[in-house]
Amino acid sequence: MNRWLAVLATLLIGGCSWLNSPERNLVPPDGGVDAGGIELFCDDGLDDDEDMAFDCDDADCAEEPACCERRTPTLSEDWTAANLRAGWTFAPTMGGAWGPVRPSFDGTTFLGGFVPDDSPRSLVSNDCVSLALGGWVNTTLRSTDATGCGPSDTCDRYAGVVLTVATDSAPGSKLQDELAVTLHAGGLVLVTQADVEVARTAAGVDENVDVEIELRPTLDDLNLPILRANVTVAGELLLEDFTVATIGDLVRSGDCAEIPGLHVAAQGRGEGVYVGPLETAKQDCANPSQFDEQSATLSGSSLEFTPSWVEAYVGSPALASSRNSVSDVQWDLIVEGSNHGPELEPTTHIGYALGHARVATDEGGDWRLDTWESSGSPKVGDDPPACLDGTCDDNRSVREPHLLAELNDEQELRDLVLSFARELVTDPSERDVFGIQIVRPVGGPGTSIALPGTPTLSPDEIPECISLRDPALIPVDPEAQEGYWLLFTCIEGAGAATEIHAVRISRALEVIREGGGPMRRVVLVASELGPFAAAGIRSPEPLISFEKDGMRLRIWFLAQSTPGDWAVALAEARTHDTSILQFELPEPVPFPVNPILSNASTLVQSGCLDEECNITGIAVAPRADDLSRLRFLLARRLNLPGGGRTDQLIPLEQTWSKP
Amino acid sequence: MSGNRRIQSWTWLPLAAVLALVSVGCAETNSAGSAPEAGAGGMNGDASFEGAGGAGAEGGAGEPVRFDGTLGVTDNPVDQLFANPQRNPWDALGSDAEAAATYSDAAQTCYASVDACGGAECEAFASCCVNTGACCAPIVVDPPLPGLLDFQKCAGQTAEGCAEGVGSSAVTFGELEPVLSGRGLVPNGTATAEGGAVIGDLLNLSSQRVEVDVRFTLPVGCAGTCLESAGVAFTGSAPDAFVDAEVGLLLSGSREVVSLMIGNAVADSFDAGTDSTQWRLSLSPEGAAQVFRDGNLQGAYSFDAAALNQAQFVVFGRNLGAATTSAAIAAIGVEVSSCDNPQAWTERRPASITLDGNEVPGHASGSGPSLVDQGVRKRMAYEVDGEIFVSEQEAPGEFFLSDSIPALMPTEPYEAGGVGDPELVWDGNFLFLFYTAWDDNGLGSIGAALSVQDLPVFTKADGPTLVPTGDDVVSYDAPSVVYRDGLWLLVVRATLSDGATELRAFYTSDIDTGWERVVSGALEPLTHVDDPTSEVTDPSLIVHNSAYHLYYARRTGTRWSVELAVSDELVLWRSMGEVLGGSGEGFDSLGARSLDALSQPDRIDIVYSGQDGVSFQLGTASRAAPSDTAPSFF
Repeated sequence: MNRWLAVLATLLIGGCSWLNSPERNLVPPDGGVDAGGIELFCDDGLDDDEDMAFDCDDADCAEEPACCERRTPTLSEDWTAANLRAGWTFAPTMGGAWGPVRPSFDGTTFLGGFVPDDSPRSLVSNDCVSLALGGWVNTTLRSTDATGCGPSDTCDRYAGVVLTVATDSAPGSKLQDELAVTLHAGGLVLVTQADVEVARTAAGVDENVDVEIELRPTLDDLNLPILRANVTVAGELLLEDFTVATIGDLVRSGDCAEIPGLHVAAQGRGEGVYVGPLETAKQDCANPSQFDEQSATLSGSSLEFTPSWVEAYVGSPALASSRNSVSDVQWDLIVEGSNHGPELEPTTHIGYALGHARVATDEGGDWRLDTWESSGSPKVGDDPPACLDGTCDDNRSVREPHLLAELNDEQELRDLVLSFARELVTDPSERDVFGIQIVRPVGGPGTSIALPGTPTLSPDEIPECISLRDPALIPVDPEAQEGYWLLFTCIEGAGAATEIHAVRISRALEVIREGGGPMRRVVLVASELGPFAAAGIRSPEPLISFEKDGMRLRIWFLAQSTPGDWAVALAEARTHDTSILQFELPEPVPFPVNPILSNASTLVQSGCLDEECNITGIAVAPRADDLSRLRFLLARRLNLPGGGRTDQLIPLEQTWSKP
Repeated sequence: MSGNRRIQSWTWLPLAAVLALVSVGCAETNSAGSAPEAGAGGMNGDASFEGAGGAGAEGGAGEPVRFDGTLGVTDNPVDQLFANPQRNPWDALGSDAEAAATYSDAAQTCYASVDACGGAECEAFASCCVNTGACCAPIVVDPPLPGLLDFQKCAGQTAEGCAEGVGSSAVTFGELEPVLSGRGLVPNGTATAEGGAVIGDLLNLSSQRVEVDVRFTLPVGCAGTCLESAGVAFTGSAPDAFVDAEVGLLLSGSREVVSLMIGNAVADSFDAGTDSTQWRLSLSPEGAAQVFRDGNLQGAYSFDAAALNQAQFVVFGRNLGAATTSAAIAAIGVEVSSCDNPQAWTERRPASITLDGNEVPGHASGSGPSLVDQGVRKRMAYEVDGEIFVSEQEAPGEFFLSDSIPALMPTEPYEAGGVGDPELVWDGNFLFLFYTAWDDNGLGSIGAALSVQDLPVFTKADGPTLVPTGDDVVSYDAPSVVYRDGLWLLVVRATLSDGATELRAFYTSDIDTGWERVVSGALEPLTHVDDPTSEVTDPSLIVHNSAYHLYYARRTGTRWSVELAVSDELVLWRSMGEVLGGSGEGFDSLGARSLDALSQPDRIDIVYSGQDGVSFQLGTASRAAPSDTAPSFF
């Protein structure tokens, strides 16, 4: 797994809850521009698809953070504005005021006159520039007077560009530089960090010296996300793959609240040295942490479920999208609910049931807040599902639904396949033992489902697992003619689960066997994923897309770094040979900056009391009317004034070119 | 430094047995570092650096770091260097090279990682008292929690009355009052709100070890889906409808289990046993939780101790059944002790320096601070613009100058570039000031000065006490000095001829005759830096609880943090990693450097420079750290 981590580290980059950022488009195949399949990894030095194009030279990688060249300007300053103070802080703010000069060289306005020269002086951008997803900083430096300064010597007179977390400097001191490129009056160009030289070159006097700082996110040896830089001076690559800062050390406020970044500054000391126009841009390619918030946040009551079984809790959503007969978009939503909160679980057994709701929307439209067609009472399970007085000891809990929509070429629904965890109790001490049930057809919300006598998969068949939870299905071919892989969380003890397994299921919804037991693979192991999953993983939500030259499997799942702090994470697997899916699941590799959505994110904390809101589930489905759009349903549990809790299902969307 | 507590405990017998097999050799002292390295300049006045001459060369310089079977143990006079000579294993175990190798092997094993000190053989090392939850000092005066609360014996009383009866306190919560009956404390929570009581005072689980003994009373007739629970837990927030059980034990009547709760979620569950089953929850400051059932370890787990630096202890639960059959907490017993967690700093605050009641401009941004305790007063030295000032502490974080004249200014040719990095040392009679003397090429040597007056007036030695010589080192700076038991110990940063830097340790019994270098040890490799994106400097050496604590600053990119390494004998070092970094807000939001530590009884005080991205500012902090608990089985 470590090699996979290392390889993907260079491939997949994003951030936590960085909203409204460029759309994610992990691997848009090149559509025949180059031959062969998919360049699986874009920074491993290998030609994965053997098309004679390595890494970024392969068009497959054009959208990857390691290769993306698409730019969106974030700051453009030509120093001609009458009032520079509108966008810039004149540092140091303590001490005497100063005013720069702005001469023109070859028709371009430069900033200079960093005087009095008793202190370095700088203009620091008031706005933070988002760079954590990659970006560029460009400027031109110029010296017009080398008097007293040698071509290879540092000099008291200098000017340059600085990337900094600071918005001010102390009198007599330079800005704290995460990275700075400085032209000294005699022509020496220094690249520094913490005012310590990391690279140098020489430039001419009285000529423009173009500077470009290219920033790309990646992972360090400890799998921590960092920002690396290439520095090009006068067309010469002066510094390559230099670590600027960890992503966690970047500015995360103001304009960088969603995509962390740095302030940009023009800094200098003395006269005869100048900074030309400053421009910054961010990468415009990738970010799986991007979620577009949608309206119509749902609750148990808005879905018109009977309070008797959802009054205390609703969550763990399952979502499917399809076309209906009139070409509207049909959304099927199945949730688990209970009349008692899950907070009681450490004290006693709580029962759950499943309800089904459906709504149709216009093409491209959002769903409504109400008037859903609802099952009202549980579609599967008992009403009420839980009791605390022993009056419903025969009830059996059903939990954690997953919906797989099987569509025809017109995206019309052929079948819904529902999988869920069902409680298997032969003795009161086994109240928390679950197996997996798969059901097809599912029918409409009004169609109830009777449980068969035995589950599709029992924990008796999986020696390591005392209970099986959180099922989800992956078709092994586009039509699922050969069946599925059933993902599930393997419960090994009383604590949080640490492994997600998969068992092969036939089209007839029967377990496929090999070697005397179910054909089974271990898909994700918490200890191999990184610190974000150190305390457990659960609730896989897979999505597979079949391409003519391969397939990609993405698995969103919940992971916790510390107990109780669940967040949404992502892993991905790709392969050219889709035929192997009948026998093997390619190993999913975690996204390097997991989690992609944490309890601390704005989405989860918005409107939250005492910052005590928690992610309880996630569902994902491609929109039937726009396959490039994925719709997520994030379940969160909120504290209420007075100590109560409630639940919300928050719709989110994300654009992928190949969902 | 206080004497060693002699622990007479069976727990040390296995260690003695282990070490009885270990004949640790007395280090030979004819190593490469045997020749005096630097002669100190003569001192004017009565308290002189006797026998001082010109600056001497360092005998050990240029020796490559060597890792053989003894890891330098036999290359240094380790019997002199032990932080607490009373614990010197050499005296008890004799001397031969094989024993030294065994000693080194044990240290390598115990120091291999931050959490490798768990083995019985590691209890031989005082260094293993740090950050392990070991060597803790029981809190017997005003303990935050009662030693015993027998709720069954309090039947008929209120929870408050029961707690007051043992000198503690209780504050109840929930819709209904907890009930104390012959079953114990019935928390009386409901399906919608937990009930119970907050017991005692706040605890700091990041520096305190807590052993909680609990006996539950199991509910009667509860099976399947009844709502009967009782538990004990530590929480970081006031209980409301739900207790956030950050770490605790919860009896579930319907499940007939006792669950370990971590982060408000079940981490593991165990058969509840009977009413007489004894449960113990053992919590260590480094974040280790252990559950014992009738004395048998059920499992070890991790919890976030750092987040529980103001933890409340609660008894809680839900009971829908009759009080006569409900789940209850029969009795609890609690032991709290204070441990050495090097990350558990408290009271981080910016320092102020005043003169005649007014803040002295620029002095709070002074650099290289040094604290010294002269018994009747504490002083802090620091550098401003190449001059050294000495202030006096009037309250934690508050210092004052008696006048605006620097205590030390550059006057000598070898100080042409200024003086800095002051290090104050009190030998019980005189106040010494060691410092970096920068020459006009920016290269440093270590200077020394002495004050015999109450109001510090320093007289410099005739020349630097340590100068860089040899082929490999071009500059020494940032001295840290310890004087104890007639031995002077010095740690400096060495800048090598190739530009790399590392920390080096020296010792002498007479600073007039120069310094011997500790050779072939682990300090140099631990602190060696040859990358311009990083830097190690500002060592601060103290002796605390029979071990050397060496703090040093590390820059990574632009960010400074302070790391800690501990050692029993200055040769073999156990790295603790970062122990002080950015606080996220205020004057030290981004980082910290230049930490200078002061060993105090059961506490370590520090002064340091906080980094906020604009400037560095002096600040102070402290942490609990037992000073007299290292085992002494030798």
